[in-house]
Amino acid sequence: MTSPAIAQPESAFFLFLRRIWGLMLRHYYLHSGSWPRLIEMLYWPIINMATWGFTSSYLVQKFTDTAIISSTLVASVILVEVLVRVCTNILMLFLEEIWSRNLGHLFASPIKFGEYVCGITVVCFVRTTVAMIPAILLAKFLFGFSLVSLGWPGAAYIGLLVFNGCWYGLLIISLLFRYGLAAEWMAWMGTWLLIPIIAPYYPVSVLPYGLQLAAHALPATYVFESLKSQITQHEILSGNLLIALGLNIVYFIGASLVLWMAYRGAQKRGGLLQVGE
Amino acid sequence: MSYALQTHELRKTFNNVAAVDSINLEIGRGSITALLGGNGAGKSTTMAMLLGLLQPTSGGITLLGRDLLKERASIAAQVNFSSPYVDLPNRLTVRQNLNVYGHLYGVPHLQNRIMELAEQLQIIPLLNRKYGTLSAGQRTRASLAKSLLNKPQLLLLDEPTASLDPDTADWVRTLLMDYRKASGATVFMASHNMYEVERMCDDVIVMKAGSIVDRGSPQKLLETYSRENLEEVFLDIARNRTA
Repeated sequence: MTSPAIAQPESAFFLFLRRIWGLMLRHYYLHSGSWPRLIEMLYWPIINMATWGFTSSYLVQKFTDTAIISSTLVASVILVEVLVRVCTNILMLFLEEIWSRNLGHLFASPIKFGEYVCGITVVCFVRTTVAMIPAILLAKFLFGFSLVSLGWPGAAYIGLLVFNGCWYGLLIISLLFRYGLAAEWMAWMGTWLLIPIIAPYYPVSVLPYGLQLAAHALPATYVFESLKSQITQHEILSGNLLIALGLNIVYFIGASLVLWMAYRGAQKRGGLLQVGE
Repeated sequence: MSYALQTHELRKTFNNVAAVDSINLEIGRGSITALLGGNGAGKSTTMAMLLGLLQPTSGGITLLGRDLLKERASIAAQVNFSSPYVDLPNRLTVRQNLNVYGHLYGVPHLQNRIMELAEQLQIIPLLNRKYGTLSAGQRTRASLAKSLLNKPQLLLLDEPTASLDPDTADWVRTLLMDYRKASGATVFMASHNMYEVERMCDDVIVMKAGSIVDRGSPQKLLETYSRENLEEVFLDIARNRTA
């Protein structure tokens, strides 16, 4: 046996990076050794892309003056997928820990809660990027629509929707910290809850008044308003993007607080060892 | 005296029922201490609080001289645990699990450490097998490897030889005692195996209904209760027979 206390002088930042790397490895191992997980990851963006892309192609063939609508639809489908995938991926990464009953080992290790959130966010970015690339390429190949054609606003839209998906995903996993796996079905429903409200395929004005108010409280709505304006009127609504950024920051702080309280609540109830039904 | 583990009036209630009722522990460095008690005595709740997984209702915990409630992350680097009731990810191989936890614990020269432990715990043939495919005994050894990865100064064990055949269980006990001897580490374990406790432990703490009802070396408890083995002592306490 060798002696203890072997810790070498590694900087706190280096140890932080190692912990994040450890979390990334955990999910890399999980996905690289599981082809069903890889297929699931790529499946939904491609299916949604294809379904709506062919629908819009049909509209273009059948009716005149629908080319712009078709482009809007395809762009919106891709961006909706970005938002939903980010939030779904955060949920999936957390569920993997619950399903494997690993939360005890994880939170008894030196990893801090903020580092855990940071780690799953990084893994989520990677997972979303990998999942979206085939769908984006498919949109170009099948329907001639390229996200690159949107220019810098396209990058801003994606960034803002990723940001939106992140805080919303954190809110959803708060639900699991609070109610355990009993809330799993609510969590899955939650991933699509925002979509009708943020009006990705239609103007906000078609929503009932109450929902319009809700829509204007959500960052993604401003992104899709700008997207539609850019494609149909060649006008980028920079103000909208700033509002979306501001709302995202506020909600991210709020969601982090809610998640922290849910985590502390689980610590009080013993939920970290017994997150189950 | 320097203690590896101290609790001060540690209390945990669930719905106003005390699972752990104001216990005071002082565990000396380098000792092997057993926490005994029947089901619902409060052992698991105490362990969970010592791991920082459960927040006490009141009271304090000092591990390795530092306040757990304030410095959990830095203390956790010098502590580790193993429990048959907390799994490692089933879909990862044993090596992958050790890799992940090695990074989380900041273990230097990780690959060397994994091979060193794999040899000691005789799990080299298991390294590339998925954790979920292992037998209960193999899981226990893999989990022990994870718990020794960071060469912990304080090792918390929940039934370390549960599910092991007598030969493997004996071998694990020897390994743990050797680890303590070589490293000076402190081992604090919950166990239902009285033979194990008699053989391994310097000190025994007996809990009942959330409180500590007796404490002493195995020999002292045998003398106090005029019994020949700890199982009889345990039954005396569980059935309210006085010493």
